[in-house]
Amino acid sequence: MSEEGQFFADMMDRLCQEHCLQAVIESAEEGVFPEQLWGEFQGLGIPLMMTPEEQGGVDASVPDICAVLRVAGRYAVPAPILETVLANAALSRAAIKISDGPLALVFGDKTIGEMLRQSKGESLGDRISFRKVAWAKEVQSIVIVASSSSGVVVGAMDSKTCNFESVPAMSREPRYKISCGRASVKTGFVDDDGFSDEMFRAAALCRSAQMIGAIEWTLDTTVSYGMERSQFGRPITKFQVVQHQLAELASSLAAASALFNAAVDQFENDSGLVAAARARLGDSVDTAVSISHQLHAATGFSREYGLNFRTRRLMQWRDEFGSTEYWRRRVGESLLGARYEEVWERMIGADGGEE
Amino acid sequence: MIATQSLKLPHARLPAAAEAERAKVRAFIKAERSAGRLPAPVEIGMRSSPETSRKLAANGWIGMTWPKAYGGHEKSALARYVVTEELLAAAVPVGSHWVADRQSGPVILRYGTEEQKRKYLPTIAAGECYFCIGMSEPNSGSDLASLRTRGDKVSGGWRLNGQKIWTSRAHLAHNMITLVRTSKEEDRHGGFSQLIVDLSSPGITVRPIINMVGQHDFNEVFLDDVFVPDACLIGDIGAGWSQVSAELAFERSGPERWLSAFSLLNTLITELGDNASNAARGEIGRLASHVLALRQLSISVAAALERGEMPNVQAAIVKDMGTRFEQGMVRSIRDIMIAERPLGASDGFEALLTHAELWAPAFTIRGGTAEIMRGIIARGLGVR
Repeated sequence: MSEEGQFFADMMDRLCQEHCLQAVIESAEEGVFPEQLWGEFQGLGIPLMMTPEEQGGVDASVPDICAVLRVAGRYAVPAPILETVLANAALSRAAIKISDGPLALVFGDKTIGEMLRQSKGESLGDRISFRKVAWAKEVQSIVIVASSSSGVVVGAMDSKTCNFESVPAMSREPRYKISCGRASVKTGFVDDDGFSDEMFRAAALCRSAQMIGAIEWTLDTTVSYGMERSQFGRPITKFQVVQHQLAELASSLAAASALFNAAVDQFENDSGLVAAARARLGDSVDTAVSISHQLHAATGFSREYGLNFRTRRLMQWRDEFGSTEYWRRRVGESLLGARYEEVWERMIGADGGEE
Repeated sequence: MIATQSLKLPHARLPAAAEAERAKVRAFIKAERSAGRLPAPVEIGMRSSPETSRKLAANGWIGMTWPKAYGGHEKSALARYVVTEELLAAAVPVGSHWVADRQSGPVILRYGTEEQKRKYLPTIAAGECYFCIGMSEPNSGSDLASLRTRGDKVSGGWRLNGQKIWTSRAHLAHNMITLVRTSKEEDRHGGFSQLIVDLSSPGITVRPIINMVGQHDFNEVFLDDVFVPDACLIGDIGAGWSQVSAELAFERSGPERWLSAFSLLNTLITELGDNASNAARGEIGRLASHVLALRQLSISVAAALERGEMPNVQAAIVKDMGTRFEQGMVRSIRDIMIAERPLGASDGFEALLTHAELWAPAFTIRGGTAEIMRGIIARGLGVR
């Protein structure tokens, strides 16, 4: 991470402490977009972070964005920061107009990419639809990234003319089934066949950053809650069975963080670590959710207590931008067909060759 | 933030100098394999082979981090890490010298006298001198501070009386670093000293305890009026407890904690070829993701040790999670095999799986029980 990344993360922390209050999260979950909070993000320059300086950004890298999103995950920020930042990066690459208003981001397959490539700006009607898009109705435009037979297509679809159908989300963040309806799609091209996969990996890693932040919150809060909560005449953390559960939660976070940090560090090298990090994180989410709730007991199960705002997001996020099972299979498939020694060589991705 | 902060360990990359060892180790393994000296294993764990130990020594892979003056090679802990993970992933039989290289040598280097360093380290680094660890006793397992083997001061040395138990490879080792009570201090952790015991000394009886796998790995070691010269005391009289606590940190975080059954994963993937269900692909990916996460943690711990830090909590996490993961992995691989190949695995894989399942209960016990590890982690979190 760069110094700028650290700067933005620190600013984000201060901003969230002041503005991302539980009341804001609660009302966002009732369907009120947090305009004021978004205004604060705009003031900080977050939405355009990944665009070049002449477009108002700071050319931030994926590790920089991850640092910001880790903080956002801690505070359960109820706004499409990940989606907007990456969507703007894609728009900028494809020479389409960027925006610091909220944006949605979705990845299409090759069929969609091909339709977009040939669309020449006219409406595609219901031929294009997506099953689950975050924040699609709340934003000005929905940004589509898809490979085509010739380069990667980026499409910006005006959300006002789309058809929406709300789909359930544990996080109570808005998620929709959408079809394009009368919407016209502005398209642009990125002359780099790897761009779509790179953006998808970036989105998957950025979701990881949010999850790591949220798990950190659950660990810290569960430890401090356990030290305050007394039963049988002493704080429950004095019981060995509770200590061991906390140790398990902490270990699970340490393992997921270690691999996440490596994936961030190696992002540019496309090393397969993003897939492994997402696979490992899926299991850590399960551990964090079950242990933090177990130790908080009924208190943690009540809506007004902060824990569920993190755990519900963790349950939702673990299967977004590739489900946990999707990423596990990607790791598994990268190993199948290997000869005996090759398993280890492929797994750690180090060839033993000269540096 | 307090709990999370206590876990923070900066991400560490393996430096190029450490990575440079990898190609050499792989070339060695390839040569051994093609010469037929390294057959696919039908047992998990570290097999013993003095011949292999001498070969590894000749390549400079024992005592790697020690000063050249004592037969070492002055490489970094991270270079040693790379060599270790490569050897273990390929199931090279490193059992003979393992304890001497990982644990006994570093203890002698850190606390030993000049004479001890000159006497033991070069032969360890040559792959010819093997050690075992004499800690547990019949009534002192996890509660090590309750141990009763006594060392009484006599002219020119110490007279040892008592019994050690569960001493792995005592029957194959030349020396044992043992922890004994040398004074009757009231303090629970005071009054212990570490001594190097030559296992051929009069008064030593090593008796095998066959384990549930059916193998002879651990032993009872009886000490009856065993004379140990003053020159074999390690460090200070009465400082044994703190020396041992530091020693255990080296023991806990290495890749042997999560690569001891890796040959199962290698073999499973070889057996399946390209023919595996989606469920199997997912589960293999899940297992691999755990191995990779443990690996990154181990690398961070090795980097911290290299910087002179003592990351005890993270080392305990590697040990606890690594061993619990391996235990689960054994069962999971058996399940995959049953689902994917209902007619059975190859004979070699069947033998390997059976051996691994029988060993698995020991993973979370040896080298510090899971309960003790979680206690250490809980203390790091500030709740104990």
